[in-house]
Amino acid sequence: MYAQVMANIGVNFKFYRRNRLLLVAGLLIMLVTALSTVPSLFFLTKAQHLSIIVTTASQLSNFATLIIPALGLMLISHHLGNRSIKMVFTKPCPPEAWLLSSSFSAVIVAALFYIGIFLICSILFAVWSIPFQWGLIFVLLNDFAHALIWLGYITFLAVFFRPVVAVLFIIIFQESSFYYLKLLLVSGIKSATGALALFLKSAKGLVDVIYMLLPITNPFEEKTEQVYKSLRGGDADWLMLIATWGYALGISLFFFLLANYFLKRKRLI
Amino acid sequence: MITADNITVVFKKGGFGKKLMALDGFSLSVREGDIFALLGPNGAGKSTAMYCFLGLIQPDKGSVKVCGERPVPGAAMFHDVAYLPEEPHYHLYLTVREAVAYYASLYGDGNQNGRVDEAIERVGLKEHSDLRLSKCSKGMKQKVGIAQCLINTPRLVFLDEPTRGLDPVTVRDFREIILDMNRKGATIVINSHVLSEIETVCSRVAIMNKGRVVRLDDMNNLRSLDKETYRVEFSPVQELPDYVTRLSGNAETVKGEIPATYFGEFIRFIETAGAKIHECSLKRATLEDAFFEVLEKGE
Repeated sequence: MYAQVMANIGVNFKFYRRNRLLLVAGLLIMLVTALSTVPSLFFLTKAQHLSIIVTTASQLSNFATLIIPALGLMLISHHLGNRSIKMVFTKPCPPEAWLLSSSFSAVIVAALFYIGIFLICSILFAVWSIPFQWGLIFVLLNDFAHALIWLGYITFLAVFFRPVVAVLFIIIFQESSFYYLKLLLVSGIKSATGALALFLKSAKGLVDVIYMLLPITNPFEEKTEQVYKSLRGGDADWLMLIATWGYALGISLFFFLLANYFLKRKRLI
Repeated sequence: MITADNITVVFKKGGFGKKLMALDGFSLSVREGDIFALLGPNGAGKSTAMYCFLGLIQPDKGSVKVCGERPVPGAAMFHDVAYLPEEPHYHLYLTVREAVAYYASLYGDGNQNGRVDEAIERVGLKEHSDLRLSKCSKGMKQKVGIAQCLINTPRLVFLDEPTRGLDPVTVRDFREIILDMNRKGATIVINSHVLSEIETVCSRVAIMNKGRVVRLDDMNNLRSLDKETYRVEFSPVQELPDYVTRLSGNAETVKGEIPATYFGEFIRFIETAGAKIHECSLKRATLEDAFFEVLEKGE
């Protein structure tokens, strides 16, 4: 299976390289980053430099968290949509090898992306003579784990839905939106009586089930808030990062197995 | 090599679950070494049957065995299988060479560069090997499909409308490729609408209609001798035997049609009657005749 995975990764990188949409997105990111950082190299006071690094790291990292799942979605949707997958599965290349290579390709790009952000921020630290803040590594690794969760979720959805539907699904079915819906229903139940209360209770039951099924895309969000603001190593809880990575890998594996199961049963014509 | 036993495949049409029976009790067997054709009108279920053989569709009922295994996507049995799709469903962002090399690499047999170049050259795409598939013509894409079939010396080859978009020269070359593969031991399954093409290369035929096989036979049996006739023009005789169908005639000559099996008897009859045969031509039964006869009879 190693040979098949490597062959697919090679082709996936060609797909990325030759995709105009990705090229435009890449150029846009570079432009936005350049616009927000380059002028400040000349005009801002030293006191504001750290906040510029924090903003740059967060901005680029947010882009990356958005783009990495998009890369996975594009790969899967493109090959399922134009049915070229037929050429792969009528060779001794099982769906798990193909899915694995699609995920690996996106993860490799993600890793390169985060290394790039790390290098840009490190250069800025050096240029502005600010001591390196270890919280940067924490933030980038934490965001990398979030990107993996999104990637796993959207890869699974891409097996069933067209890209637009998959994105809409992911926008609607988010753990955070269902959390707020739960809170709304709880307050509604408290004030409602009779049939309405009964309806709201059953609605809450349904929302609870969906909430439990949805992946948490940003575990420990509140507890990591401070390190995102300061980039200070002292604010970072590294055990929490390990837990986040454990969750990200676990949920990615779960979605991978689920996607593989359904892909094998899908009518690939 | 392939056995399909009472397969049923149902497709749901639209969002309201309207059902379409693509295969309905489809049974078939393909023997090793056959060049086998799946024939039938549009919607007969030929492509669906091929997809079942390739594991791209799992039947709702019944069983399929290919090379002794149930076909599932990407199974190890595909080491011995090649498939040419009906539509150019290739990785269009790759160049001709990259695409053939990629498909070759999926067999996982290490460096196949030599075979890739050889296959590209064999289908006449050497000069275009750096051209992206998205820029290739339909015929060129079809040639890419043929090239990737040549990579791994397959034991079983599935060809879905193989000559679609090919020029006559390439069609002739492709016919040679098929026969060559078969000589090397490959079993070939072809799905095509071009009956003349099937007739030239295939040894066994399944005629399908409405999702099932209505006739499965050797090509020679389908075009059997009793369907071949001789058209003869001969000098008039007193009384014609029953097996002669009189087509036209005058005081000088009579035109008639005789089943090939009675031809010897007719020669003897003419000699005995002291008459003469002026002209004689064999009218062969074609696959087309057999195809329409089977469909009309609804066997």
